[in-house]
Amino acid sequence: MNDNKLKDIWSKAENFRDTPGYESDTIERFLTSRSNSIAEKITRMLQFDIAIKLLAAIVFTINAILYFNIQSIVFTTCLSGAALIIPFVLFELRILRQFSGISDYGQSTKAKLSAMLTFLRSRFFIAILSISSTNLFFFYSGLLFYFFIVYGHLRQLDNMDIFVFSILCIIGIVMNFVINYTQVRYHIKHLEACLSDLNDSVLSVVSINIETQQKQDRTIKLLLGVALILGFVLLIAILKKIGM
Amino acid sequence: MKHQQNRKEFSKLIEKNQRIIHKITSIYCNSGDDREDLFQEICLQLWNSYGSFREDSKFSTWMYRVALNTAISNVRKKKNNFSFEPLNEYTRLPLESDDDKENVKLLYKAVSMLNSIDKAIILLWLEEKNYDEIASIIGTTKSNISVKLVRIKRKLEEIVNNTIKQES
Repeated sequence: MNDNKLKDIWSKAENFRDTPGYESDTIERFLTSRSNSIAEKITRMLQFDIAIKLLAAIVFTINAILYFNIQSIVFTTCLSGAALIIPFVLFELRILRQFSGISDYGQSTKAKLSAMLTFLRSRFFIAILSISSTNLFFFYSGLLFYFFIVYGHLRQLDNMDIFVFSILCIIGIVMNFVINYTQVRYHIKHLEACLSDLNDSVLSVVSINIETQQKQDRTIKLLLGVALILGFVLLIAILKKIGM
Repeated sequence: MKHQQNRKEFSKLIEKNQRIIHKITSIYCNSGDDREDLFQEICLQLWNSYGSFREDSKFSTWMYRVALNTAISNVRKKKNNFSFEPLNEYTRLPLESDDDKENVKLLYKAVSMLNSIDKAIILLWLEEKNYDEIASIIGTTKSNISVKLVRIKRKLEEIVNNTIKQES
């Protein structure tokens, strides 16, 4: 099959396409519809998480007011919890800003795929770690609020209570992390396959970029991990202290 | 109000150039529903990326870039069954012969078996884009495109020959 023959067949293909021929009104409606792209899903995921974190910060602040004259240790913890949420929110807002540049479809295919892969394999891992932390904050603030509504104070807890609460909290964090990670894993594989199809050397260049990015992000990862563990230990310590 | 006005004008621009999007959806999707979903997604991404369009480049080149990036990034579970849906009576246009229909069907089947990147390259080549334009849209060198095109055409030929052998 020579080049001319191929192009000739292609030109005739137009007659066979079952194209509806949309009118501008229909196209205008498409422009306001909801996107199903992975970029849009990640953006929505981050926006939703920021909203939930801010809600947890508000509940912590309400708890601080409620427990002010009742249990000073809970009051202090609530204020610390609300304060701890702020750097997480700021970090996610930064990720969201960076991502809006990456998700631009007007770049060349290679640039678009490389940027997406670098983001998903490096920055997104920290982002989902930060997203998972929401469970801890939400669970903790909700628990304190629930106890105040039901008992008027943080009631004494035995070891079994603490064990159950801790397990629930850990399961929430792990599930959140796994679900979010699974969602993008398939997409990462697809991007890697596309880049490898594009040019053998592209993927290795992208891998170097990812490595550099990961090295730069090591401090943030460490800080997020420490904040998450610290928050969890603090929760157990407070619950134990109250329980004594 | 101004935003709505811009959207109206942009919709008219897409309406005029929708041929490009239909060609892309027809090689990246097998079913009519998938094609409509992808058409919608491409329109949305074109609108979202309109700010990045610079007047110094051709609108059609920019449109190909955004539409192909959307189609390539659009990850769906792979369906192995290729189907070339027949046209209804109202949309069918007169063709020279039944051979044309068979050839078109064969070409589509062969293109559907290529990977996402190769599909983009061959589509741009079939659309009479020169090597410079293809390289700029894909983001690689002219020589890489030239090498890839030779391989893709060979692959297409192999698929076509195998299909003919299987059918006869």
